[in-house]
Amino acid sequence: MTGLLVGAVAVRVLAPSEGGDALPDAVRDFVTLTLSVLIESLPFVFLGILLSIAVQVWVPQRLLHRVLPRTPALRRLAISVLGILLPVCECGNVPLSRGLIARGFSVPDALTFLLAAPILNPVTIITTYQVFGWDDGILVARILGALVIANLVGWLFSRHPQPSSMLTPSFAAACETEHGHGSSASGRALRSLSLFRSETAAMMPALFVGCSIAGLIQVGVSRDLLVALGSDPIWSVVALMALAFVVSLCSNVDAFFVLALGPAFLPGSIVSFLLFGPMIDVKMLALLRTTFTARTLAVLTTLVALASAAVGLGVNLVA
Amino acid sequence: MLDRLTGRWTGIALSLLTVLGTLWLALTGNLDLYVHPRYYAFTIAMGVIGGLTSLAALLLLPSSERDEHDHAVDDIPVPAHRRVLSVVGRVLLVAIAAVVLLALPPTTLTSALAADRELNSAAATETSATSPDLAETDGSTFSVKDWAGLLRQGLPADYFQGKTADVTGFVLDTGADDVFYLARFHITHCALDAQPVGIPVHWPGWRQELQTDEWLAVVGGFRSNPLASEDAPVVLMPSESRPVNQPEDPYVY
Repeated sequence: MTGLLVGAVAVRVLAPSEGGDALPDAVRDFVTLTLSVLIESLPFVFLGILLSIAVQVWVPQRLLHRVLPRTPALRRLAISVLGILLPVCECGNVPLSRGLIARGFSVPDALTFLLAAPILNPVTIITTYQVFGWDDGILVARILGALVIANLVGWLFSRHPQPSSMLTPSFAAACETEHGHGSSASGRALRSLSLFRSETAAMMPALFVGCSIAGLIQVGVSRDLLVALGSDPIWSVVALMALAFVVSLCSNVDAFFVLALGPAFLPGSIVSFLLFGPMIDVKMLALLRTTFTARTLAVLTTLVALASAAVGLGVNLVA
Repeated sequence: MLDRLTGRWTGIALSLLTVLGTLWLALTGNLDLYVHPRYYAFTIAMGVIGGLTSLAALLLLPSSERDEHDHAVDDIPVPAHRRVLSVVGRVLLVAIAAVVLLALPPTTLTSALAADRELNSAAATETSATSPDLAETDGSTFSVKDWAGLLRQGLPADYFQGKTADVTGFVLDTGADDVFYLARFHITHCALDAQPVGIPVHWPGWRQELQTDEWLAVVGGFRSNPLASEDAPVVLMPSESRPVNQPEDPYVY
């Protein structure tokens, strides 16, 4: 492995630094977009994995359970604002959620965190305010919408008779081994490295696949049709949610992106874009598949889509 | 055996490849082709941390060791053909990642993508120069984005009297025979959110002399579009132009 690493460095040093123009336009754009989203996401994925390791290995298990309310609904409400303390982008929230589940969080609790944290964090709120201010209630609808959707979905999944069956068998099996570890510093350090290795083994292939799909769709799907639907109260909501799913933008900057489409779209559709995109998109689904069954993700996607659309349509009616 | 080995180390291999590729881009000044400069510090810092942790895992965790995860996951029965497929998939993924991250030269977005995105959108030109800014100068220091923002305001041609643009951009074909756009991509966060901004340039028969995506430096003044186009009522009339190499930082912010 070390030899391969040295070889990789040698290839990078010796590879040509020019000549990309020779590639066909579509291939060049696909590679550039895929690398762009990969390089942009990787720091958040590393940060999420490191926070996940901190939660699993270095934070006392009792601490989390002591500070969170015991009543399920209040507990989920508190979890949905944890993003204020752990402002990791949505890609980083997946490994962090895996760590929380391994540390004893229930699946509904983890899902509540996953859906709420990308939006209910200071960076996202500030950037949304920078872009929209208080115009058309977009900021308020985004914050309240995220809070309601995350808690609603968390509550619905809490009705599941066997929440652990929503996890992939391999992740569920790995979680079974997570309790009780040695307390020496060197033991914890080695365990941290072992967790880093297992989390990157789960996350990185999914991240590559998700980024490639996002790049491919960006090159292959024309935006003209989506933008053409912008002035219809219902179709504009559907169109922008489809766009959010496709472009897989980071929640910290999606407000800047959608502003470019602002004049063509109604405020409710922008709210739907800002709610749905950070919760579910192509890249996120690839990452989430490392942890949840396909059936769970299908239900989750449907619920979040319906709820985001409902909030958007409501804003369109009021605005 | 091979299944366990690839399953265990694929993530570390992909992490190291991506970190190596990212740090190389940063060292050679090409990271701005992919992400906004304001994210350099975070991207590089997390890349170094992730790379060092990956290296530590590589050096300190013995390959033969079976940790609790391995025991738990290995206990799940998986058909033999799926194990073979997963090994092939992981090896292919690492090989493709190595080619894309290490062997391919850095590239920018092309005008083919610009043609599918809204030109001179409100957001892309929001922070450009304003009309009072232009009133105080001759405009020679303004960027493509500044001029695009001013033209977007629908100011009359008289307003640009005596002002000179000295700008560099790539040729973007918007379908007009005698007008093309001298364009740049505006980046908010990363290339994924790139939006084209551009200045309409009046150049009859430009397709015979120029190619789309070609980089040009153009100097000239503005006047009413002789074609009376609604999309571009005011156009740049080049007095000088020359082909140039793509700038080190091809995007505007």
